[in-house]
Amino acid sequence: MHRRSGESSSGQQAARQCIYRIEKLTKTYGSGPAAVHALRGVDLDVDEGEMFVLLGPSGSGKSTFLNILGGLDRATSGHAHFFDTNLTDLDDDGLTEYRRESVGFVFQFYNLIASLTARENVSLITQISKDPMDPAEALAMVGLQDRIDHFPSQLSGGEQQRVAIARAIAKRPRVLLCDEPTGALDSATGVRVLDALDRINREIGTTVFIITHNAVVAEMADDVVLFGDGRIVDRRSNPARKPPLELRW
Amino acid sequence: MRLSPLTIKLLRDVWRLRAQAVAIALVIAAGVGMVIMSFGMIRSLEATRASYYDIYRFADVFAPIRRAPLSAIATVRQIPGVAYAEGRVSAGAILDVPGIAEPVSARVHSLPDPKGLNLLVLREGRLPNPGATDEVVANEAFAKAARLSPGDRFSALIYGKRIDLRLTGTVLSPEYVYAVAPGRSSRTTAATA
Repeated sequence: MHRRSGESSSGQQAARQCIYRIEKLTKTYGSGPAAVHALRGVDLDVDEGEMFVLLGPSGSGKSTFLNILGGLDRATSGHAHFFDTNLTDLDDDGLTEYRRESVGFVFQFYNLIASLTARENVSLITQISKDPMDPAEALAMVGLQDRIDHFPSQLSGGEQQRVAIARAIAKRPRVLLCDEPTGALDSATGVRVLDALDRINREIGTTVFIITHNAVVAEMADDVVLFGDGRIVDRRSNPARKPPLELRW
Repeated sequence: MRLSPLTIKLLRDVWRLRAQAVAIALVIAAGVGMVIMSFGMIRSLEATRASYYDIYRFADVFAPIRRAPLSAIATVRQIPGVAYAEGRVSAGAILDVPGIAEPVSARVHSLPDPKGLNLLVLREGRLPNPGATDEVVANEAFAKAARLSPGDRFSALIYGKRIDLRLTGTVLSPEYVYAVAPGRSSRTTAATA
């Protein structure tokens, strides 16, 4: 069990479940002399409700690790337990159900449908989820209650990314995986996106992973994991989470 | 009824691309129309051909024979599966047609039995009189190309003998939809006497 530093916000640090237990996870692309070892044996325990930031240079294995956690890719060896389910044992249907029920994704590019409004983009997900939020509620959580009937082309980059976040959380996932969510945004806009992620983590307890190259972002996390050459080279816990609106880069 | 987001997306995308959608629909409609029209035309042509061959009794089988007696036809008619058989005289000829500098290759047939096979369609003039040895009818397309009309005369070299002929009419034959000499594509005709 990892110490959760966001005590001031949740006060629920006492008995958190381990949401992910990762053991000796490896991922190799190709074979023989041309093989690329993206992950070389990663061990990590993650408690539910934590805010994780993954740092590391390009090619260090962050995105590969996140893709395996999200069921988008398969490990070459090792185990990745999501609660009691070993993701590495699931077939394609099992992974699809896992992604649909438990995981929300946010990518650097928003992947919104241009001909649908913000509300309709979120509705795409709520229609296929078992216990979704109302799309308006999800958009309100990311501060877009006044922009729900706007099309993506009428929204700024930060607003579009927040629609993407609303779309990801509308199905109430247990975990939210964000790969460079602020990579295409300026500082002021990026901070608002991070604030939306922080709010989701605090208010509905979703475990959040954020991949970033921006070390400043690490200050808003409970735990920071530094990747290098396919391995975790450092892991630290912040004594206190810094509010995203106070971050500057 | 509340539309799903994907249905809304479809409708908006189609509306946004309405000009292209209409153009594509027209192209598809034109294509489908062409296909339907082509199939209709093929069926119509096939039916017309079958009807033409049926009415003018186009023979199924041709068997060239040298110097066979007329009585051989009766023998052929006895062959199982033969509904009707008819004999005729056929020969190659070289025509000397006024207005055409080079000699014209032709195939000359005796007239068919009026109730027999490969009946002629008279287009202009009349058929040769029975027993008339110098009267012929010619394929209509050849007659037009050679500018021949009923009553015109020309000579023919048949089996080395020069014969003067008079055109009494122009005809069509199910046997010669497109008249061309074997192995050639040059101007050729079929004349019947």
